[in-house]
Amino acid sequence: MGMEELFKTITSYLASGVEAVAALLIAFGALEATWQALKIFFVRPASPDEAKEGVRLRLARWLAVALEFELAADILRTAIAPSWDEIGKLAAIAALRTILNYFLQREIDANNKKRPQPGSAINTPPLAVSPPPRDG
Amino acid sequence: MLPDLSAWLEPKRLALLVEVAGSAYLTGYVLAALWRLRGPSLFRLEAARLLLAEGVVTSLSFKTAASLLKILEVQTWSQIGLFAAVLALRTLFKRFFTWEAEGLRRTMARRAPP
Repeated sequence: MGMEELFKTITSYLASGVEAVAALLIAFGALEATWQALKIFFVRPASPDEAKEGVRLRLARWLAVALEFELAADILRTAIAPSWDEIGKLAAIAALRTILNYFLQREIDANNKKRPQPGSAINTPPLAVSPPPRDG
Repeated sequence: MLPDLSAWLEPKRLALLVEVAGSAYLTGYVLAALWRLRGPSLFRLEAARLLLAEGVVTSLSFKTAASLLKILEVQTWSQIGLFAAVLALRTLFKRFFTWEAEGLRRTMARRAPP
């Protein structure tokens, strides 16, 4: 029994740690976006709209990474959900995060298709002529 | 006198071990993804997400095995229900992350980072 208790404690700390990492990533992404937005505001770039779109997209990509970390924490927590109440909450939160992640990805994809910018560090390049290699 | 090994071969203990293995595996991938986030590479955010997704999928396989070991010992309806809920949650997670990893691989295959 002692071993199981120890595992629960460690998993709980681990999940909280991973969530703290996610929080730091969100904070970092938000600060970076703020900084870039201020730069656009004070130093007018050649095409401000595209620059703003780029800032938004970059923030979205950071949020997607953070959400991925949070989902990893949720998966760690499935090992220590002992009651219906806990598992229900976990499922609801995980579902919310998954939906959020899905729509973020759709937004990123739509933006990349709409306005491809070759050479840009922010936007993903358009589809290549040849299909990507399939493994397996 | 030999130590009593039967206690260690209980499904519950085995399930715990497999569960720990799955968690350790996922933790390793989380650290790797964190490490992958540094540097100026074009697709580093996507690469980190792909690492996480792959780690999650494998770790969930471990955890499914642990769930199957645990069901050998459930006795009440409440336990069976909880087992079903955890299993369903893990299966859905696995579906989602497999789908996401495929999408990320497609994104990154569009153009190799310079």
